[in-house]
Amino acid sequence: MQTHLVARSFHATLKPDKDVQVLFAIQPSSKAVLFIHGFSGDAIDTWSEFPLLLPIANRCHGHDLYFYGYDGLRADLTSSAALFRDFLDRLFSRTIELVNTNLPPAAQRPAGFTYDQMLVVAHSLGAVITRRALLDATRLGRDWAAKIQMLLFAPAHKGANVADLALEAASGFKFVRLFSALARFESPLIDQLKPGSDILKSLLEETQRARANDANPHLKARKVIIAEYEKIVRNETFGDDPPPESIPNTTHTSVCKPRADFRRPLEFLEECL
Amino acid sequence: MSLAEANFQDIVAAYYESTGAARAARYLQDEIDLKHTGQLAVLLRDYREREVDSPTEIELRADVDDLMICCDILEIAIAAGFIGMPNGTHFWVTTNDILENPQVQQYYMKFYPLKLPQLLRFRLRGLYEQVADDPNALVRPVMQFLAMDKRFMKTLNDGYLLRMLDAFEIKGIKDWDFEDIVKIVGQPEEFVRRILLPPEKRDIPDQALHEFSLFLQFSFELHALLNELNEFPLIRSEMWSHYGYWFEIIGDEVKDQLGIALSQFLNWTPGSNTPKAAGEIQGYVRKAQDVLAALTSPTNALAVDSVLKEIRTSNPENGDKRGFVR
Repeated sequence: MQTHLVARSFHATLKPDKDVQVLFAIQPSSKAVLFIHGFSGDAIDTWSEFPLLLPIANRCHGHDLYFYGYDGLRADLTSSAALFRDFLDRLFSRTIELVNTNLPPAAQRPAGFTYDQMLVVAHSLGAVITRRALLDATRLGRDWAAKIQMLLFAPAHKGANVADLALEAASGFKFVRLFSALARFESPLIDQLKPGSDILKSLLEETQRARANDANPHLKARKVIIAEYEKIVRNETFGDDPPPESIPNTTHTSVCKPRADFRRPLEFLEECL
Repeated sequence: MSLAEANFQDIVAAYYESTGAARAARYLQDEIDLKHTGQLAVLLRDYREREVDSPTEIELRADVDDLMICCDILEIAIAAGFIGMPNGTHFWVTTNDILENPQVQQYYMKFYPLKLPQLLRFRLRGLYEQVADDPNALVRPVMQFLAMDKRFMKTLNDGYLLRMLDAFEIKGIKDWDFEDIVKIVGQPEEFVRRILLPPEKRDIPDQALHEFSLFLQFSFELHALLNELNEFPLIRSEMWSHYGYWFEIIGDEVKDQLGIALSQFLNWTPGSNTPKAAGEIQGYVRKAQDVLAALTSPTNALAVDSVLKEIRTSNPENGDKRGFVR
């Protein structure tokens, strides 16, 4: 049974180079799931079969599914977070206008349609960008921030060694990563994601301050999922996040990629809905 | 909400209104109404008989190609039950007029043979009505196909790589062809340097290398999708036929050229700290070559060819002996 319309580029973004893709629910429930990829990822490819498996998962039938794209290879982390916050700001403040602009005439939604809940599913660097964006939105007093929950896969919020991933991601030929000695890769992210970097330290400190007296529960991850064979990020707990859950036989890149015969990442997501 | 109508509107928005297809349809309909037979014949000529070098003609023919692509997608969507059968709306009447025009027919049946617009034409004439028995089973593959095709159109269809594989030279500071790309693939350090360049600093060969990787990724995905559709041979064959130019008409050339480029990877020598690297490279190259062999196999065409042949045999006056059915 068809539960969602075909994937389309979402026209709401000021950024011309990276795509936001969306699958709109045919019977919308005022809830959405937004995926944000990690270092060097792609709006859709990072998530492998998520876009195909989600529409047939019972608990996702009514959810709109967004796949947010940004330059996760060379863009400055703080800028990426500000752009993401701005995107969310527009999506929550002009929901019906933006949604109907992107829907065909036969599927227009009634005036007053809004999102009352959004699960942000973030991988790797995407987790840092989400945390920064949510933290800043909270400080700016944006009401929508409280409607968001976070599910984090292999988050890079405690630091990451990202140079090796660049080569693999830049070409699509996975074996090219074995020739990283030949690479001369430059990106602000290499320093910004180093364990103990100023950016990561202040992210943790500001989060802890905002969470004092158990305030702002949306700044605490709903779930943190880590890979068994992790070589890119540090698997340490961030602030008062729940203890991580690990998926056996996964790596940094495979931990967020469900398939028809490997549904664990999807099950974790469904548990959050 | 009528789901079939929403799906139809989505396809029309993506493949008709957002491309040159709508422009082509307006132009062709006007020329047909004005009975400008000679002008149409000139515009839609075989480039092998007379070169096409006027910018206006190049642009108009590109728009007509977009319209044919749109016809491909509509035919697949109808056959899969993803959208409804053609009805009497203005869109379908115009499409019918265009596909019935003799000069347009010559273009998509003889000079640049495309099978799916032919099937769509037979549908519009009521000669072909086959639709999947269980459209629900095809929702996921059709949505996957549309997402994949969107990426193909955005990243590859107008790119450098496919033109190089089609024996074109790309003019830049120097002229580049596919042999130049093969040479770069044979030099690991140069390859790595070029693929790490940001998009704004990429020159023609850097972009072609990027597309080389994307095309192989696309081939893997298409191969996997077609395998999922083994129980639906006609839909499978229709989806494959959408890429018929690359995998059928010049399929052997594509397979051979990409095979040569892929074999360059086998000469890469990993450092001593990566003892499994040679095996990983060999595995990738072998798998990619197998996928290309499967995608360029003529057996993929059988289901569509047999439908076209059957319609022509049953309705000889509607067939075109100059057509592309083997």
